[in-house]
Amino acid sequence: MRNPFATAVAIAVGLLTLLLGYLLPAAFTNIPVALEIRSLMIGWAVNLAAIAALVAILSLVSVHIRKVQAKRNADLYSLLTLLFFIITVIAGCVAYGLGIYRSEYQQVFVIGFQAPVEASLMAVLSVTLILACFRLFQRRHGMIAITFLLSTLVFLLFNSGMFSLLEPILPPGFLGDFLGLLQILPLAGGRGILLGIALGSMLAGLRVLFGADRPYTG
Amino acid sequence: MVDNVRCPTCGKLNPANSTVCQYCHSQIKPASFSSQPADSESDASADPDWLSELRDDSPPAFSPLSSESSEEIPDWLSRIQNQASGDTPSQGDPVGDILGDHPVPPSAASTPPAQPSSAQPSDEMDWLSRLDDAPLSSEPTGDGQESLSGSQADTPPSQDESSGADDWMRSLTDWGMPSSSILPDAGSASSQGELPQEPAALQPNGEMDWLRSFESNQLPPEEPSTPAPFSADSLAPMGNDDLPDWLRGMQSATPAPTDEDQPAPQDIPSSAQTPDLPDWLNDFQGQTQPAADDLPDWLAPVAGADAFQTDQPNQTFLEETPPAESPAAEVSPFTDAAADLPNWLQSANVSSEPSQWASPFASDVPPPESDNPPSETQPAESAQPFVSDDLPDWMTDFDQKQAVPAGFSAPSSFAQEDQPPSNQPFDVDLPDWLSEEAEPESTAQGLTSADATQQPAQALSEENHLETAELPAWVQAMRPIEVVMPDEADASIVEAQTEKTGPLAGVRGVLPLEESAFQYNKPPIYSVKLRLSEKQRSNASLLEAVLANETTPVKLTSSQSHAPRAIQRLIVSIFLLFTLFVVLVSASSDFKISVPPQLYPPELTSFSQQVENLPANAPVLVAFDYEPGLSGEMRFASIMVLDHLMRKQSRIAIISTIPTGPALADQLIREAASLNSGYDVTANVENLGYLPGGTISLLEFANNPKQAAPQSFLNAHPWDGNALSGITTIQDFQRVIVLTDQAEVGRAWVEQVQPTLGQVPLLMVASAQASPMLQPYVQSHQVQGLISGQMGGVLYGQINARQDHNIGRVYWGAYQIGLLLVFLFVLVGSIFSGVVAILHRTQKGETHES
Amino acid sequence: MNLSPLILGLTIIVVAAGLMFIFSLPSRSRPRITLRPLPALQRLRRAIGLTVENGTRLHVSIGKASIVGPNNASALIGLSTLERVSVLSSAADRSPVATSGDGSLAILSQGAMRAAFRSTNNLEQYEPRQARLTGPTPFSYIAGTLPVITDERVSTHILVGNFGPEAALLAEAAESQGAFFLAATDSIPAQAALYATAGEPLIGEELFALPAYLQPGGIHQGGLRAQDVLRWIVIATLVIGGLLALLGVVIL
Repeated sequence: MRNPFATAVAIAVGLLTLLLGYLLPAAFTNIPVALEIRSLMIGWAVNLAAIAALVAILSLVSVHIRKVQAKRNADLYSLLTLLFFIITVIAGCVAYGLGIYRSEYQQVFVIGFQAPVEASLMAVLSVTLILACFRLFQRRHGMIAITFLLSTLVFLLFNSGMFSLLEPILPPGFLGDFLGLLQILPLAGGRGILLGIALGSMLAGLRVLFGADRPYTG
Repeated sequence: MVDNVRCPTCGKLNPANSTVCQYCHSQIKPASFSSQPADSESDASADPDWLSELRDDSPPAFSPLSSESSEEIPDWLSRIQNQASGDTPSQGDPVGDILGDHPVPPSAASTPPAQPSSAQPSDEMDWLSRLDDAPLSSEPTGDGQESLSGSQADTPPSQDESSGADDWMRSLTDWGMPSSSILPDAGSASSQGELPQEPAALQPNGEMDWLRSFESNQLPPEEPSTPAPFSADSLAPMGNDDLPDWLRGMQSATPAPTDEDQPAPQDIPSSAQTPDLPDWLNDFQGQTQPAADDLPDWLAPVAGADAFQTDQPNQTFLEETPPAESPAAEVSPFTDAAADLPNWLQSANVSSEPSQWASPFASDVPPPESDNPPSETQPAESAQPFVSDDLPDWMTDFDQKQAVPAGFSAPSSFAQEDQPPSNQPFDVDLPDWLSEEAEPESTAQGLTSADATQQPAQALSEENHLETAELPAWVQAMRPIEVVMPDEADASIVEAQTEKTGPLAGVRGVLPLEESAFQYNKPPIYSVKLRLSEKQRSNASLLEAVLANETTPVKLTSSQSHAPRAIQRLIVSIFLLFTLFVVLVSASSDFKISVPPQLYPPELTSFSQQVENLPANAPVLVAFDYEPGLSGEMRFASIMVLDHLMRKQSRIAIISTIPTGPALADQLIREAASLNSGYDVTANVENLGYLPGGTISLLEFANNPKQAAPQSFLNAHPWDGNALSGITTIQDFQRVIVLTDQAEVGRAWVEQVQPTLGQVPLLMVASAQASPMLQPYVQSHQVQGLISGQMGGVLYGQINARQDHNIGRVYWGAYQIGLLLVFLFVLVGSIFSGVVAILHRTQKGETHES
Repeated sequence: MNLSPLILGLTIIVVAAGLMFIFSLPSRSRPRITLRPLPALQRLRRAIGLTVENGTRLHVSIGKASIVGPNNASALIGLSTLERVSVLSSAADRSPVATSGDGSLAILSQGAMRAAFRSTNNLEQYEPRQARLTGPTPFSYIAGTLPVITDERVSTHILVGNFGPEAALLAEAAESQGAFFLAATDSIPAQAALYATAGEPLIGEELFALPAYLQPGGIHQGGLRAQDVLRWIVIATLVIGGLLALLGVVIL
C-alpha cells in the first residue's frame, strides 16, 4: 500500500465531511464543535486549492518558459502568454498597492480581454458545431445520428421563436402544449443521464473512501 | 500336386495340410510356413537398395535359370539372368563375385532339407536379421555335391510361392549354382554324382513343388520324392531298411571315409545307395563316389567354371573353416534360424551349415577334435577362393566365418569357436539396430531350433566327438579356378570392355563413356498431396488468409486535405458574420422575422412573480456564477432581473464562486443602474466578491455568510453597511438568485445552499445549455423560478413591460436570423453529407462484392 | 429539518458501499463479470498500442473539475484513467502528457503519472512538466490545450473528466491532425457537442465505467456492477413512485 498515512487522512477527512456536512441532521452538525471542525476543514481545502492553483500556474509558466527557450521551434505564442502573464501580475500588485478600486481594475482585464476572447472562442465553437453537423452522417450511422440531427433542427427552430408564426393557424392552446412537450423531451433524457451520473459519482467517491482510488499518493 | 506329405520321422503319409504327423505326432513342417508367403508377397515389391545395387553390380551368372523360374522373377533379375546367360561359365566368376557379396561358396548353396519349406521370410528384414544366425549355425557343409543338391532344393520352392522377392532370392540362389532345370541339359552326368544326396537333404516335409519340378526333370513321375529324415537320431536308429530306398542307395554308394578320424561326410550318404532308386539317381550315386582323380569327363570342363564342380575351392573352404565346436554348429537342419532364412541365404548358409544336412551323414563319424588340424589333403594355400587379397576385409572375415565350404568334413571341425558369429558382410548395409538384434536372435534361434528339433539336436550333441572330415581329392578338384585366380577373372571383365572405336581403340579397361552418358536416373517423384486434418486445414487457411492480408496491397486512402474544411469554415463564418452584421446595423428599423412568442414558461412567470412580490428594501442575494465567455447570452436576462430588482428598490448582495464573477457583476450593476436612475447603487449594492474555494464554500457561506465572505470590493466591513444590515444568516435574504451558465454550479447551489434557505425562494437565471439540467429542480420546487437563456431574458422583459429597456429585444432579430441560418446550414449540410455517405457506402459495398 | 432525504441518502450510500464491497469479493459461485463491449474502448487499446509503436505521444486531458468541487467524481475518474494509460504506455519512447483546467487537479495528475512510472520501474522517465495546468478557466484551459494537440506529436487523445461544450474545439483540432480522440465527460452539453465532433465519444455515465474497462481491479468491476444494481433500483423506484403519484399516494 502506497503512502498509508495519506490514505488514512483522506479516508478520515472524507468520512468526517460526509457525516458532518451532508448526512447527519442539522441538530448534530450545528453544534459549535462540529461547525468549527467543518469550517476548519473547508478552510484547509480552500487554502490547499489556492496553493495548488498557484503551484499549477507556476508550473504552467515554467512550461511556457521552456517552450520559449527551445532551440528548435521556439513557441512565440508562449512568449505572448508569458508577457501578458507578467503584465497582469504586475498590474494587480500595483493596483493593490496604490489602493485602486479593484472592480475597475478587474473589469479592464476581464471585460476588456477575457470576455471578448472567450466570446470569440464561442463563435468559433458555433461554427465548428455547424460544420460538425455537416459531417455527422459521415461519422455516425443509424437512428441515433438521425435523432440527434432532427432534435438539433427542431430546437433551433424552437429557440428562434419561429413557432409563434404558427400560432394564428393553430388551435388555441395547441402551440403551448406542443412547446411544453418539446421541453419535456430533453428534460426526461437529461434527468435519466443525471441519475446515472449521480450513481457513478457516488461510487467513485466511495472508492476513494475505501482507499481503492488513491490519486493523492503519487 | 501331391496330396500327402510324408512324415520325416516315421515316414508315413499325412495329409498335405497337416503340420504334425498323425502317427508319431512329430512336426512335419514348421507352423510358420503357412503364414509367410503372404508376407513375402506383400513385401516382395520392396526390394532393398542394396539388393538393387547387387542387381546392378552382380557379375554374370554362372548358370542360366530355368525357363519356369525365369518367368516369375522380376525384371531386374531377368536382366541379371540375361547378363549371366551371356557369359560362359568358364569366363565369369559369378559364384565367386555373387557369393562375394553373399559369401556363400558356390558349392555350399544348398539348403538343408527342412529349410526350403520353413525358410520363407516374412519380409526382407527378417532374413537380414536372421542372416546373423548363419554364422551361428555355420557348419561345414558338404562339398559341391551338397551344394548342387542345395541348389536344387532352393529352386522348387519358387514354384510354390508367388512372392516375387522370394522368387528372385531363390533365383539368386539358383543363379549361383546349377539349376535343376539345366542339370539334365548341362550335363546330367556332371550332377549325377551330387544329386543323389539332394532329395534326402531337401525334403524334410515331404513333397514340394521344387521337388516335383526336380522330379519332372530328374526323377520318374512315379517316384515321390519323399525325403528321408535328416536328423541324426532319425537316421541313426533307422537301419537301412527304414530308409528310403534311394537314400539307402545313397548311403551304400557313399564311399567310406578316407580318414578314420575325419570321415568325409560325403561318404555317409553315398552308402545309402539302393537298387530302388531311379536310374538317374543311381547314376548320381555312382558318380559321387569318385575322387578328384576319378573325376569324370563330363565334370572336367565344368570344373573350370563351375564352383560346385571344382574341388579346390571347396577344399579351401574346408581348410579355412575352423572346426565347428559351437552348439550352434550342431543345429539340426530343422532349426528355426535356418528355416527363416530365404532360399538364397539358405543356399548361402548351406556352406556354413554343413551340419544341417551333413550331420545326419556324420552321425557315424567320430566327433572331431577341436584342435584338430586341417586335413593334410586340404592345403591351406588352396583355401583362398573367397579370401583373396582383393576382397575387402569384411568379405574376408565373412569368408572365414561364414563361407564355410560345403565340405564333407565333420561339422565340429568347422565350428568357429574363436570367431563369434558374424554378419560382417552386411555390417556395411545393415543398420545398427539390426546388427544388434542379430546376435541375441541368432542365439535364441539356435536354442529354439534345438528345442524344435529335440531328437536331431540331441543326436548331434551326442555326436560332438565327430572328427573333422577330410575333403576328398575329387572335391578339391572341383574348386572353381576363378576363385583361385580372381585377378584373372577381373581381367576378363576388363577385357570385355575393350574399346573398339575412336582413338582409344584397342585399349582395355576404358570406361564406357557412352553408357555413363546415357545412364540417367529418373528423378524420384514425390507426392505433393498432403493428408491434413481439419484442424490443420483450418490453421492453414487461417495462415493463408493472414498472409493474403499482408500481401494484398492496401488501398491507400487519399488523406483528405484540410483545405475544403477550412474553406467550409470560412464560408460559414463569413456568411454568418455578414448576415448578423446587416441585421444588427438595421436593428434600428426593428427588423425581425417574428415577434417574440407570447407564451411564457411557468418557471419564468414564477420567477417574475417572486421578484415582483419583493417588498421594498428587501435584501436579495445575487450570485454571479458565469464565465465571461457566456456573458453575451447571460447578460440580457441578467440585466432584466437586476433592472427589476432595482425597480423594487431591493438591497442587493453580490457573491460569486467564479473569480471573474465580481467583475462581471459590477459591470451589469452599472448597466442596470443606468436603466434606473433613481436607484442608489452605492447604498443598496454590496459586492462581496469571489467566494474563496468556489462551490465547496457554498455550504460554509450558507451556514455562516459573514465568516465565508467577510470583505467586499469597496468596504472592509460590508456586513455593517446598508445593503447587508440585519443580515446574519442566509435565511435573512428575501430572495436568492443564481446567475449561472453551468448546470453543475446551479446544482451545487440547489444541493448545498437551498436546504439551508428554509422558506427563502431560490431563483435561477441559466444559460440555454444549463437550463434543461436545472429544470428538474424547478419541477421539484427546489428552484421557484428559472429564466433560460437569451430568449428567457427577452420574455422576462416583455412580461415586465420593459420593452423600452429590453436590450434583448434589440438583438432579437439578429438572434432569429442567426438561428435560422444555422438551421439551414445544418439541414443542407446534413442532407448533403447523408447523400454522400450513402453513395460512398453503396460504392464501397459494390467494390467489396466485386 | 426533514429527515427523510437524509435517511434516504444515507441508505443509498450504505447500500451502494455494501454492494460494491460484496461484488468486489472473489467468489467462485458468482459468475465472472462480463463487461458489455464498448467499441470506443476497444479502439482505445489499439490506439495506445499504435502510439507506443510509432513513437508518438499520448495525451490525457482530465478536465477542469476541481478535486474539491461537486464534480470531483469525474476528476477522480480522469486521474485513474491517466494512471492506467500511463502504465499501458510506459514502453513508449515519449511519456504521455496530461492537461487539466484546475490547479489541484494538475498537482494530482503529476502524482498519478509519477505513480504509474514508479509502478513500471520507469521513474527516471517521469517528467513533472508533462502533467500541466493549461488554463485556470474553462476557455483558457481549452485554449491552452490546443497547442498540445497541434505541436507535441500526439496521436491519441483521451478526454476524461468534466468539460464544457468548448471541448468540441479540441475534438476538431485532433481530427484535423488525424489523431485518435476519445471523449468521456459527465457534462451533458459537452456530450452533445462531442457526439458531433469527437471520433469516439462516450455517452451518459459510461465515463464512470472507464476504470473498470481499463483496470483489472475487482473494486472497479464490483463498483460497476453495484452501479447497475442501483440503477435498476432507481428505475423501479421511479416507476413505482410514478404509479403511486398517479394514484394520489405521496411517500416523500
